[in-house]
Amino acid sequence: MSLQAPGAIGQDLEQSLIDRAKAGDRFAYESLLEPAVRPATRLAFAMLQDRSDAEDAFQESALRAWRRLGNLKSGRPFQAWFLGIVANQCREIRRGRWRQLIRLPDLVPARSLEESAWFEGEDLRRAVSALPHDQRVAILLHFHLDLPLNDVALALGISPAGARTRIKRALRRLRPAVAVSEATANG
Amino acid sequence: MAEERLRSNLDRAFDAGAEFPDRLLLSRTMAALGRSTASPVRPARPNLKPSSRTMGVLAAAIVVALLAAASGVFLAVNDFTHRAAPAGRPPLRPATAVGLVAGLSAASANDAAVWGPYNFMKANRPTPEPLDSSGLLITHDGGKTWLATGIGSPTAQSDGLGYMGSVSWTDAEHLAVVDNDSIRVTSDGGLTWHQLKNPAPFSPAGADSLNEYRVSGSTIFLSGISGHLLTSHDSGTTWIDAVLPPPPGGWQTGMDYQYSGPFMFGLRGVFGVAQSSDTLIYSTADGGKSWSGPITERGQSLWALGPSDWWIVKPSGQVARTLDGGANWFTTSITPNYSVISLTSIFPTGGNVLWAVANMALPLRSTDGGAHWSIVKLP
Repeated sequence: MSLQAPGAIGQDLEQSLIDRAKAGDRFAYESLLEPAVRPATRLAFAMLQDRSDAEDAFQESALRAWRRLGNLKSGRPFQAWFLGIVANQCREIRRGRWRQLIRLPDLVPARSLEESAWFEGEDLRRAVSALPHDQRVAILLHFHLDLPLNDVALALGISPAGARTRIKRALRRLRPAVAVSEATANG
Repeated sequence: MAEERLRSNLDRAFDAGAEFPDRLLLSRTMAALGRSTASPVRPARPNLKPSSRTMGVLAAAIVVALLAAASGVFLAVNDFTHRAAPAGRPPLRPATAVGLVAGLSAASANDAAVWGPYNFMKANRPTPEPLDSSGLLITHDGGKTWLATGIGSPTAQSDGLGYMGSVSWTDAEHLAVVDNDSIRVTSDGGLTWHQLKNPAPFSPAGADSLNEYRVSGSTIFLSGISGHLLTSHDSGTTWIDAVLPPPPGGWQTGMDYQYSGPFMFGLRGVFGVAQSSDTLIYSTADGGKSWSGPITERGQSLWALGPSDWWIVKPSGQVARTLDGGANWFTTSITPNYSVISLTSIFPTGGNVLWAVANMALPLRSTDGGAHWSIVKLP
């Protein structure tokens, strides 16, 4: 999955849409939001492991972003900024999830994968879930959404060097789980 | 290499399935933003040749009569209290009877316009005839009361249907009307109107097919001439003639093309040109300076809720929708709750309220996303 999904918009057009949206043009905002739906919901699902919660997180993030659009600095890409908001929204949802203690993951998401494949990824899911929030977001943005390091940094509001450091630390923590996952996948 | 494996493993571990996210997620989100109260411009019901329109009205009249006979008691008058209009303003007229219309255009859940009204049942006549010369009627309360503008007299045409090219909404207060010989605009919801200078060198008086007028910011679109879309980016001072890529086989002389849009969403927009039972769909990404396409879709009465969220009414009366700019269409569950009527135009507003025209003349409104419909009553 590349951030430049079909329907992605050029820089000039995006800045024009951002300006219009800041002036209150909801349709311009929708144009900005549309290419972000898939990466944002993928990030949210990976963070929350529940399709319904992930869609709620997207909606709430979209409303927050609309209200805070004035904070988006000129020249800064919308999508990376928005993904940062989605990540924070997911953190809030996770914090409020007392029910997760007794709740199973979303096992019936009408997925195309076989159920066995879902269980094979459980070690990796647990490992990602156990990462500190900042590292988890960094690893998902970079490896799951294929965001370049600069965009990961923008989404996290840190420097590219800082983003690289977080990813490295996360990789170190994930290494055992990835090995298990690979061993399982390789039979 | 290890990174690629991690990517692959993450994709497998966090695969939410092909149907995720819900295709309506963006629409729901925008509805939550309150877009239903600030709708974009609306396409008019496609112009129909007098013969077709007359047949449609007759068909709708028969449907109304059937519904009345079946129910025994005709549909009850809306329950509302008529409010006195402020001094100096034309009075709002209560909706009291079922009527047929030559056209409908809706801007939001509460704001809509109809023209060429026939108070068929109120007049108690076996065939529809124009009851009065109220012309364009506008409602701002979902059809409970109507403002009679006097524009578009139903006696203006030989068929008495009050022919009107288009009614285009920018928002609840701003409308533009192209009728037989003029372009009129209002900025107070229809209370007062002024006539626009005709866009030289084209004149509505001399162009029978000039039938769409769209305003998006300072941009005005004027369509109706095959293969052309007149565009002004300075509120009508100067005009450019945007040439549309021709459909396969080229533009047909004498073809009665019907136009929908353009619908603009920022710099992106969509424009429909219907011919026979197909619609040629064009899109722009630069505010209308250039247009790509067309893609051809079976159906008419194109409407757009977003840059890639398009609606169309199939010849069968089913409503189809795409959420990816025409790559994939799906049939909605929207259907009239009367088996004797068939939708011919659909006007979604972004929320649960939809307006529609059935059998080319019967105005309908739904408040539950199209599951159930009520006939819109007229003064």
